[in-house]
Amino acid sequence: MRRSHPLVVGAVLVGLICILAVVSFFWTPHDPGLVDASIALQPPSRTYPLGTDGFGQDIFSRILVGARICMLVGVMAVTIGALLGVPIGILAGMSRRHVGRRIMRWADIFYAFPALLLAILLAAANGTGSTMTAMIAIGISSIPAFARVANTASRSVMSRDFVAAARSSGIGWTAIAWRHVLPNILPVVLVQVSSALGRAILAEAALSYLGVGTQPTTPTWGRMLYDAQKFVYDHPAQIAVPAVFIAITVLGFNLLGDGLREALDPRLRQEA
Amino acid sequence: MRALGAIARQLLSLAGSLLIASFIVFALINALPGDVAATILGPNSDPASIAALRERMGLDRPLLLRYVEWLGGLLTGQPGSSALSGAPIGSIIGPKLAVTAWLATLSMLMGVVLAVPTGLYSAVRRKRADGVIISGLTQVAMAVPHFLVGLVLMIVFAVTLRWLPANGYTPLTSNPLQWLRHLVLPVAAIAVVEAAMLIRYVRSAFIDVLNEDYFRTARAVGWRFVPAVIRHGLRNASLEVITVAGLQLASLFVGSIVVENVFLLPGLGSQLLTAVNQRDLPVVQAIVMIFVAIVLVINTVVDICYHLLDPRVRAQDEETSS
Amino acid sequence: MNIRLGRRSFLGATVIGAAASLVACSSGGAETQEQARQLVIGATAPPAALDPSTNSGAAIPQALLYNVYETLVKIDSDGQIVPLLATSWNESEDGLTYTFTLQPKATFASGAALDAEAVKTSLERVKNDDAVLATLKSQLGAMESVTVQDASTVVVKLSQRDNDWLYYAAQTAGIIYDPDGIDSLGTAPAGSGPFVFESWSEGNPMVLTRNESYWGTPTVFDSVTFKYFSDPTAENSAMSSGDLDVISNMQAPQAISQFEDPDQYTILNGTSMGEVVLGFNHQREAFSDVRVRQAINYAINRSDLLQTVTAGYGTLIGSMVAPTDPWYEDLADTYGYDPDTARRLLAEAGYGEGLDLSLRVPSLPYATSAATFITSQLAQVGITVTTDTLEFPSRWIDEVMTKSNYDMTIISHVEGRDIAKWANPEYYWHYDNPEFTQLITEAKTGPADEQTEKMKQAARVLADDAAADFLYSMANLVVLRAGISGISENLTSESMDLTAASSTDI
Repeated sequence: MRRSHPLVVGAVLVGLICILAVVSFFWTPHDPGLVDASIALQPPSRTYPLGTDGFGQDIFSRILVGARICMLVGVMAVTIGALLGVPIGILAGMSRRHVGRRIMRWADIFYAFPALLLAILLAAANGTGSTMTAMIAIGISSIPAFARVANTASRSVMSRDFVAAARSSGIGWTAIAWRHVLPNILPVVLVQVSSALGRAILAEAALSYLGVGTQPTTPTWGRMLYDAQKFVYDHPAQIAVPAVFIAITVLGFNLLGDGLREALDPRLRQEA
Repeated sequence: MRALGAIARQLLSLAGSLLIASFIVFALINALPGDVAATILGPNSDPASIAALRERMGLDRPLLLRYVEWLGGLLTGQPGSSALSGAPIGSIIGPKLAVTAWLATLSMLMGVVLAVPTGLYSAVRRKRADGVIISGLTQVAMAVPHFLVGLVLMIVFAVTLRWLPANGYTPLTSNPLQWLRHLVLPVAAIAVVEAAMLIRYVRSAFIDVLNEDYFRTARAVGWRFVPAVIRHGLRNASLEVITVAGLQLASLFVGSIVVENVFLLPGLGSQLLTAVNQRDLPVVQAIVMIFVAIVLVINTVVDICYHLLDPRVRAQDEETSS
Repeated sequence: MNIRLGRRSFLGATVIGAAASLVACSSGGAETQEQARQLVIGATAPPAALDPSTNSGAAIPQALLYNVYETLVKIDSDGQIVPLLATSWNESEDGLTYTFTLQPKATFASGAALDAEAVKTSLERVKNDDAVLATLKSQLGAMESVTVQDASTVVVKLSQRDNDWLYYAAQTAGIIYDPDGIDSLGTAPAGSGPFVFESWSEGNPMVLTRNESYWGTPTVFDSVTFKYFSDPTAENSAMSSGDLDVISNMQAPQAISQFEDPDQYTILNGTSMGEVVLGFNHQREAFSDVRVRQAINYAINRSDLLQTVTAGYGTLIGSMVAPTDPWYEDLADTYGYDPDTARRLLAEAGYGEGLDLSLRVPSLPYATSAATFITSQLAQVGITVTTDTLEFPSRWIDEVMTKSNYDMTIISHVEGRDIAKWANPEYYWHYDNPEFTQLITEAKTGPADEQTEKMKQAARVLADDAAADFLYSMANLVVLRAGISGISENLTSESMDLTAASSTDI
């Protein structure tokens, strides 16, 4: 039982955030954008479960909507990274070893453009940072990690007997990639997806903090953290709330990734 | 000889990557809308004088021509001068590179120093309460943004206790003690999070070793635990730590922008944000190129280390070159 | 086990010892700081260059004007024009001739004499040198000739009466530069003030030191350091941790309670010259209708806005006049908060079904905060606002000022007497009101004693016409370490005037 703790805890935390995100589509206790100076900076109460921010906006409503945007950024970024990275990795993994290594070299050039750097440049190009530039920047920067994981995994799949059998029976490369390689590397990619989601959410917070991510009036957790900074001495709870939600989400994805990895890795399973 | 050949190939491909990256950098940056002329003239200027200034500064010449000039300048060690202040880029960026390099390397060093013993400890005690607690704490530490750790450290140690300066920087050469005092908090902020990540790798590397037959054998024939771990475990773990720490170091050069911002360290990252904002393109290009080069060079060094340390990779190498 | 413990405690002792020595020198640092009589000031926007005549950054005159550079006359803390390098001046009856008598003791920091020739060189440079900013040229635009009558008398002739000429000559446009240093102003500011420039480079503080050969009353400080903070929280933390003596203008007034202990800090709550304006693009169809402009004015509760954006610090103005201007009148109630009237006016103007507008704001804290508030308030009366943030300055200038590609924007206009900008239909608002322009022209070029009355009328026209929503005038919120004095409460010029600053620690 102890084995599966990370998986369970991770799944519960991630599930919780997903529920918040889904709920925000149908219901928030208050209009998250409604400004009311007369109720600014209120402590938690029955009407405002997490209090109100400097604009008198309901923090809980903004956390709900923030969960949605947070998930959106994470999912879109990881989709970009996986859709571009995994095919590169499979291609490299299915090629002859030295060709594969050359392909991976090219993919590694993306390592040279980390999310922060790309986001700063994209924000400048766009005139300002936005949720979109943040997603793209984080996505592009996660390409090489996906490529590496897919490469290693597909190379090991290629050496298995059933692939050799398929090749000798004359099945084409694309078919092998679709039917044998992709399904077999999916679990490993899934592990990578989970930890990449955690990283993407942290990156979004950092970008918002630097002012090159999501812009005001959009309630993301990173932006809320940034806005709450000026109250850090008088109203520390303002900064604690979004921080806790970011931490919970990232923790959830990291644990989920670890749990999946352990579940998939027979060696680790035996070990404990 | 073969190892040398492999290293030469690595260096050659590094040069290729740098060249490609330089073009990407230049094209990307010159495609940015808005220009330095507007920054110089300010909100009270008019379009005509902005256009005139653009012409005087040579901003209206073809892109490719400017790229070739810039590349030539880079190769001959003359990256040009700031479009805004006219100062040579070397003199602007040099001191900033030093700040970022100190911050990144000291943080990584401190991270490794914290991580190796802690990782080892938690590997040995993985089934005990304290080992589990350490693992849990590393998970939490990895889930917290750098800048938040920095902000909390600043509030506790600078604002409340007043032990250390809240922000700012003093160069090592002008006052080593003040230099150290200014770096303690930012280094700690990064090191905590980096250590958390490394601890996990160290831990799993050591767990692998502890389960290996040769380790059990060594223990069985009378090796004491600690020497056995150091002798057999460290070598195995070092490969993992070098790889991860190397890649992390590369990302820290860029990643430290956030912590530089919290502690107002005049590093490359803050300079990049300012220069982008002012559209001082020569400075932006130089800094982005430095970042890109650092990442590519460190990756290559890690690869080479890998070749030298890991017999398996070396064997593969010989296989491909034959 | 024993050995391990021993080693660990040894390590612990070393770490604690090292930490203690790090911490111990913090008090040592403060002591040496006092002995050296330093004044460390936290400021907001860093300069991008050093020459105020060729670069428009506000940080340059903030640090250098009156402190390093001097002018013939200066603007004092009450907004009055008083002698500086000129001991007296005379304006002819027709307003076309100014005769300045120079301070005989005045010299440049380099030791060179500050005589009538030097004055002529600097003033003519503004007129003739292409590198000088167009804004400065136009400020002194009426100047026709500068003549040296004798070594200590300068005569300036204007082509037409200009009641603002002396005001501008008292600031950046009128700086008297050391003629020998004019070619290197970008790296070595050369002036005659009580401080001399010591060092600055991008990303680093600006350091001024005492001018040991100053011709007037010397400063009590050996050096003044301007540290620049893009982030208000970082600036406040630096003040709280003892790294700063002065916050020149508090950017996050919400956090002012940190500094409320009068034994430790003095808070100055004065006025600035900055008017925060919700500007309308008058080229847009919707804004050609005065009812729409009025509706927006009615729809926004400006005192609540002030509360959320600046914690209530600042002044509601209602027009484009700063509270320290001689023609200031409180016009804040021209269109009081009344969302019902706003809805009715919108319906009358044909926007009863709703109105979509863009609000493009610069990436500055007050602007983005105000945008959040305004977006929500305008939604209440049926105006859907699409907000986006533009990097400041480059992108905002490009999109809003140069291309006029916006419906509404928010910016603080910090120049003195900038109401005159509304008389220029080319300026980014594209406001064109002949009555207003007439009044401004009469105020500037008419008899001097009518200037105040004409300006009051102009300000009222602007307010009644709802040319913009004049949100508020920024407070000049200064935090001083207790014991520091001589820093003005109100910001009345482009300078942070430190010439009278003092400290009881000395």
